[in-house]
Amino acid sequence: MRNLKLQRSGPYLVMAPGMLLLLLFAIYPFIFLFVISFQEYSPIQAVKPFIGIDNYAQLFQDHNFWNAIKVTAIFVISTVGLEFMIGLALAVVLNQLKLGQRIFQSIILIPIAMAPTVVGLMFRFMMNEQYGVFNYFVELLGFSRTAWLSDPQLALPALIMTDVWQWTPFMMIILLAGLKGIPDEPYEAASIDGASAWQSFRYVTIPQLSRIIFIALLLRTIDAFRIYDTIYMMTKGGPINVTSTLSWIVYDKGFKFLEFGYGAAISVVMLILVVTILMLVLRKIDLFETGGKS
Amino acid sequence: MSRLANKSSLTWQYTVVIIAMLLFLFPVVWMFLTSLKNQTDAFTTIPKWTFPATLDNYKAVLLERDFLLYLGNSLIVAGVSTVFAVILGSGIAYPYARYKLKGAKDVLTWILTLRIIPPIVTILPIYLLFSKIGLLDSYTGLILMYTFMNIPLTTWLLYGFFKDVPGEIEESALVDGCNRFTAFFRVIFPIIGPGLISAGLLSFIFAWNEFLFANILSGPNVRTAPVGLNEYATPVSVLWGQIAAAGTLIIVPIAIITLILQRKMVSGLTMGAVKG
Repeated sequence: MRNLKLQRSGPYLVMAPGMLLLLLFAIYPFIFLFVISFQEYSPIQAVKPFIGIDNYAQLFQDHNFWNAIKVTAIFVISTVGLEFMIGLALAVVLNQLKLGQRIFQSIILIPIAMAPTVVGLMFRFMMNEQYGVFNYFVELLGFSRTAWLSDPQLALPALIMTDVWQWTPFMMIILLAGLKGIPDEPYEAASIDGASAWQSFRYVTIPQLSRIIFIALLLRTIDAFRIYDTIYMMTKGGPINVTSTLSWIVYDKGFKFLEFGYGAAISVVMLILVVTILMLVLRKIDLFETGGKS
Repeated sequence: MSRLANKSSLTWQYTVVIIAMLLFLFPVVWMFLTSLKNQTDAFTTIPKWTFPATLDNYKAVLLERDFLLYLGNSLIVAGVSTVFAVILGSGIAYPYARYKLKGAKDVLTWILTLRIIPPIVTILPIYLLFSKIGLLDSYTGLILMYTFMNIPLTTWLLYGFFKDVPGEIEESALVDGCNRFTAFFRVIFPIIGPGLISAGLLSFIFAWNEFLFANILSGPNVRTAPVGLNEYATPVSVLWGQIAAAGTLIIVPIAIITLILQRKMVSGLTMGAVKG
């Protein structure tokens, strides 16, 4: 009898330590964030007065917040869009190569492995006005040298370029895996019907790939949303605030200005945004094909 | 005619791929070259492609500064948290893959959403919690954080691997006199070895490269390599040669792992949503 009980609870005992850690680190922060977002909370003050929805009211009047929403939207849409288009093109070309596919693939994958901090610093070095190697190429093309990261017009594009460099290979490798999974038959059928290369791409490849395209876009969107390391290394949100994303202003308010309550309010709004987007998306697709058995 | 067309499209394809490869490789090569240059060669308006190579930057970073210590810290934190993430993750994944448990789908989806939440959102409360219980700037604090960060990945990845193991194998081991634990370690463990390795290596990569948590939760005692790297970029001067050397040291181990692991990489990076 006792043995049976132990058998039944066995699975739960095995998962308990991991689950406890997840619960502790996941539930506690959210309750805490929610609570302090209604307080004037600073770690250096003993008193943390309850101020109701003041933080939120302030938030919606704060032009820095709306600016961060705009910057985040521009950043996410342009990086994910560019990475998808370039990644898909590369995956299609690479998939057709018979010789050397593996080698090219391995080399193109290297950026993914690099710490974003290292990438950020290296691009900052390369974009330096006087000795940056980028500007050397820019000059070769007949333009004049620019201080990319201190120019309000160019700082965000430079950041986008850096992200595209690092994460296009990620798009490419996922889409390549998807392309390899498409059987030959639909292509053969299409070519019998006299479809051109473009037509068979449009009407065979794209539909067959749709689930994987969707997953790739989703994963990159989630990651682009949280960009922090590269901004920290390259622009620190500046010049002025042209590269201040939502993640950045949470950090800025919280750890630079020590306005934890206000930072928490931004976090809560950000969280609601991410979760809403996710719910809308997940309703459309069974992302992980889970629970087949259960 | 058609052979000619094929040939020209082949040339075209290789041109595209080679250009792409050069673009993706260039910054890495440039960093490596910079790490071997002395101050005057590194800061020229027209880039120097040939120069007398020197190991001074590496010497400075490893011997005169504390970067070796930071690499050691990174190794400890990433290594230990990886071991925990794999063990705790398989603890969650195995029961869900093997038994019909209530709410399996909900729990697994919940675990997945943890991965999706921006880390900046959790860092404020964790920082305050850690400062209250004295875990700031400690190995324990960072290891706990990274274990938490990687459990969703290991759980999902290993869930896929455990599900592919047929139940009969385990049943027959039980008939042969194994108990649940010995059956797991003697029979299941070897089969999903590759899964454990790729889950482990990916966890290691994520922990090794991580910056946000490390930057906020660590101090002078437990500085990791990506945070230490930032030390060479002071407002007064930026030591690009040393940064390049330190950056190279950070990426080399990970680049090697990636080359070995690339086949497993896809399923790991997508948490099993796309088979590699």
